Amino acid sequence: MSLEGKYYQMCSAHWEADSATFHLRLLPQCEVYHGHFPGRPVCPGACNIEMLRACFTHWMGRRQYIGAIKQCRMLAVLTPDIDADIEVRINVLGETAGGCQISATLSAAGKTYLEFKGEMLRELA
Amino acid sequence: METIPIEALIPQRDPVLMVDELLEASDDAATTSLTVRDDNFFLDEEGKLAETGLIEHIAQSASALAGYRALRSGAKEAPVGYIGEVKKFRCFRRPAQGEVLHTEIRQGAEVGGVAIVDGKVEVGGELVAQTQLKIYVKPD
Repeated sequence: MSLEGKYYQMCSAHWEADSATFHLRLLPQCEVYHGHFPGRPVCPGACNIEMLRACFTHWMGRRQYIGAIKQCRMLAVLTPDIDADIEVRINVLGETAGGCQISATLSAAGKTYLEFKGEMLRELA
Repeated sequence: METIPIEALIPQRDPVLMVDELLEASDDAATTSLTVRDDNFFLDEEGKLAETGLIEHIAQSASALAGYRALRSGAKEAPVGYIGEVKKFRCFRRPAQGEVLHTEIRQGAEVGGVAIVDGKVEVGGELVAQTQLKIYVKPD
């Protein structure tokens, strides 16, 4: 499953040692909105988490897996035709046996829509 | 239990309809199923159901329970719900194409239109994922 080019397009990516910032643009024509919800397009929360995972994968240069989510708060409902320009910020908090702990936010126009803390893994069966 | 078409219980539709059937339901618990097919929206590059697909499946299973309760109370259509929070999520493995997910949902407190739901997903009796969700149910 790759949402890039379908659900969003990546406009820019910048990273330093322990933090990264990505600018994405949501694609309102994505087929996901046919079903979520018919006539009322709303970004699925799971797809927004998937964007974070994909950004982290882009940063790391290899597939990263969500092993655990300590807490992911969806602070507002994201809609693709209103809040299309997204900023994703990711911080690596520390390493674990199989990957690392990260925190991340997803925001648009200065408003935070999602806050994430969890463990990303390098491998997952 | 009387079989109710899943489209009557939840508002999601293809390509992101992530529950096949509500198998059992009571006031505060439900069991659902989903077969991972080759056209699943959340199928990843390795042919497995992505972790976020498991989250969406659990959320829609909770939505199916909410829909069952709403219809039983006389509502004409299923309520729309949004994930407000994901906590205590663990993914132990990603189900492969053809595998059948059996998911148990237990609903706890519901305050101000926000329900706390625990969900666990098994494949053939093996726990593959679990989480706790806060689901915000949009008022009519």
